[in-house]
Amino acid sequence: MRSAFYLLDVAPYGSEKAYGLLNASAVSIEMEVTLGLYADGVYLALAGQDGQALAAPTMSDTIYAYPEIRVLAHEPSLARRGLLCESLIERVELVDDADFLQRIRAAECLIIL
Amino acid sequence: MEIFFLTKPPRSDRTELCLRLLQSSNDAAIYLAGDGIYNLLEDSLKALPPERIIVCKEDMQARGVAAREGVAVPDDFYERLVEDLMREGNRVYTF
Repeated sequence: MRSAFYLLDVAPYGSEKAYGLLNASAVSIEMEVTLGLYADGVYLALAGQDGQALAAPTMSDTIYAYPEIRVLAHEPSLARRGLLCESLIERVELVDDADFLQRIRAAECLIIL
Repeated sequence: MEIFFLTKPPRSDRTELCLRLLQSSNDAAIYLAGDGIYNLLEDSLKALPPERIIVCKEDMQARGVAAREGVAVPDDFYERLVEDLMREGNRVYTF
């Protein structure tokens, strides 16, 4: 297998899924790895995260630490949540609906936790 | 063939994503189990030939949902699903 698309549709810090999916992406960097933020998963794109108060790792650090992971944010999901006017992590690429679906199809497998 | 395995109810974000991938597919079949059964009550699967909709009988009975004419309700739902998942050339999406 040469490529994988990890889909996150749950908000970070409220459950382990974002942390788990980020780490799964990090250990897959030998392949072409895409992390797709969809629905509530787009909250992971927000800049200024700091997990210390929760004694939790700051997940945006992982996005910065692994430039090999391509991070896409589903633009309609961002718009629906009023996040387009918020500051987002620079490394996150905003894509429209059609492009997002096309990237899912382009990967050899789709993984959702 | 593209195989879709849906276990989420109609208003779920994942169901919405699944249906959009399904609608843009040329050769697809969808397996419904768990809360995915409730999608039988919607019009969202009307465009798919009924024989390409395969439903888990136990989940359907438990939820009091009836399948419309032509929808497949096999006794060996999971055996059939695994066969389709393993068949060479099939692409699988689970939601």
